[in-house]
Amino acid sequence: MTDIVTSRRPFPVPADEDARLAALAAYDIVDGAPEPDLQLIAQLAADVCGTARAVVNITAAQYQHQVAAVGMAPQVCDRGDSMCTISILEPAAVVLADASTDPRFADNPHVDGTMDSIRLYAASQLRVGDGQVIGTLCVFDTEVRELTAVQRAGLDRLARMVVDVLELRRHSGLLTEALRDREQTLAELEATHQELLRSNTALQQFAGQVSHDLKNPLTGVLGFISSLAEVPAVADDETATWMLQRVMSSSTRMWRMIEDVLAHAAVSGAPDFVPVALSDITGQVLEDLHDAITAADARIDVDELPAVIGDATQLRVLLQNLIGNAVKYRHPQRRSTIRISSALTGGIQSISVADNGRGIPPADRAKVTELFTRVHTDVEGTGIGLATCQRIIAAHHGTLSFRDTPGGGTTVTVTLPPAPTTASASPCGTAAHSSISPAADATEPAGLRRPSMADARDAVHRSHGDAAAPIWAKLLRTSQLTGHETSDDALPQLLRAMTALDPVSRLCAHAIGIRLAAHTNTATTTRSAA
Amino acid sequence: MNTTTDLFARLGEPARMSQLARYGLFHPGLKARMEAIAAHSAHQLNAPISLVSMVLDSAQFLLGAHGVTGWIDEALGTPAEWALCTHTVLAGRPYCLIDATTDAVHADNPLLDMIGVRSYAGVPLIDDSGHVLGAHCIIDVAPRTFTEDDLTVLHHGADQAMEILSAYRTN
Repeated sequence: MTDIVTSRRPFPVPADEDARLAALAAYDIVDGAPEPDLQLIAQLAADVCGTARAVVNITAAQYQHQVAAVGMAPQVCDRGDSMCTISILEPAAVVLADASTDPRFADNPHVDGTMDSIRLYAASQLRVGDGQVIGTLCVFDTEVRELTAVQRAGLDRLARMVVDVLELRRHSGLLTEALRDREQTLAELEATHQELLRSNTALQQFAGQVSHDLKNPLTGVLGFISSLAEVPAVADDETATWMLQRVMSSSTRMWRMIEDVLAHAAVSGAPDFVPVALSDITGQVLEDLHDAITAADARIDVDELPAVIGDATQLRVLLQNLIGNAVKYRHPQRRSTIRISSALTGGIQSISVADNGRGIPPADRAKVTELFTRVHTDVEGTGIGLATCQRIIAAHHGTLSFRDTPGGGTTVTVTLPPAPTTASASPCGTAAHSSISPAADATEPAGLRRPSMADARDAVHRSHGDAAAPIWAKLLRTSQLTGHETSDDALPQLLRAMTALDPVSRLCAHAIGIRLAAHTNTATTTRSAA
Repeated sequence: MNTTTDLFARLGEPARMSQLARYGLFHPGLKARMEAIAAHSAHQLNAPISLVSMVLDSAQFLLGAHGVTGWIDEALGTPAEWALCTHTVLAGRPYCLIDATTDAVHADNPLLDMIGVRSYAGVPLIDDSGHVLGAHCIIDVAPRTFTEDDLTVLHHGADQAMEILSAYRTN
């Protein structure tokens, strides 16, 4: 601890002292952590001015604090004893070859021999953003000496550097606080997310269990109804037969509903992304729907469909629902025709199922994807199908939209995000370099290959030790690269995933980003020099 | 490429990488403070270039640099096999290069020509775990024989760098 010498001599204060103290408080420098950079600057000030001592003074309400000191231990002194308390009132730096000849300082205890015998004294004000002076950068000596113009200018520049350091420190403090808040929010979000996942899984299991438990007895009921219909006493009785048919159709509807609930619950799992040929899937769906299509005498036209990245099972459920709906909600007065087509616009893949059926009134479009919503109640349905579609689309980060088919009917359009190989940004701020891919035969700088997916894999393996294999598998999964891990175009995407995964992977990704920049820049240099 | 495979395996040793990962090396407040240290050492030792860097598994990452321009300044780093600080980190003690043109070890290093390096002096950045994380160095464009006093300046800068860095340690 530094001793505080108190003399309680009167001292002048600026007219706006309150505002000055408020400005000073924002820097948290008096009681905050020490700032090593200030010590560096004080050392430079002493070097530049050739003085034995240099200090950074902060002028607080009652005391002056030396937050950096060269050639002496940092001290705290009463403002009444301080020379710089007077200097902070001046419009420009105070530079004196001999302070004992200046009436402002002649009787100051640091000058008159009571505490010190300072002669050469130079103080440059620390002027912060709003013009307030919070202290000085001060050099002094016990000998009488002039400072050169270069030394004076140097002192002023160093004083501005002190302010820069304090500004930077204040901003980094604010940033740290913001980051801490953000981390806390993220942690809370993560906890909520985990809780949701847990309760979702529990609900899903519950729905699955209940549905199975309902299906088993229902299978028995349907079996007995079939047998009952053949019993002569029932078959011969018109009323009994009619009632039994009602029981049969109600039970069948119940069966279908349970099937849909089971399918909806099954979609909740995380999608397993692989390349999927939509034409193959559509073929399978049309086969499954063969009976319904034949019964409706619907005509189905299928354009050439692309391959997309997605979950094969979920995409099949999606198309089954969309095509099934188009057949089911056909127009009573015209022959059902359905067209399945695709388009690629701005990297976004869309698939449309257009029918000439009854259509969905615009007012109902927003709610048709809600669970158990039914627009056409005269047609048998459960109100689950489009809700399931909506969940599948959400899991694929796509969109689902409805519009009128020209001439009547509904067109449902699904968009899927572009396949991952078109991703381009890198986490290291070198995106512009990494997306330029010089061909393998471009001039390579001595000893530096273009970083590849194999390099990233090697980096993860060597730096994670025993934990490497699952981490690499997770990286491929989170970057949706499973099955594409040999494509070097996907490297930026993998680096992004590495940056987000764990701190060690982030460092490896950063290193590869530096190598990419080095490769790109030196390969170009060599080429243009050649 | 066997040489780089071996080099990366040594630099990418899991324990050292985990130790590096404990520091908030990407913290926005860090760069200016490290630059101040580099600038101070460069001025004290009258050298055009000074670096405070971490050596990652396959690249050198400049936490703060003085006198560096062009793509190295943009990328804030160089490949590990080109970086002279790699030698300092692997040695775990001060490493000096008196004249690159007469030193066979560095004959194949393209970086030396690119930025005109003739001499180098670096000291390791070692934290309390004992791991060598990086280096603090000066680089000169003329041949130069370094003295103990030069290394003392670098050691002083390295101590300050590690002291600053310790505030950015997360656990």
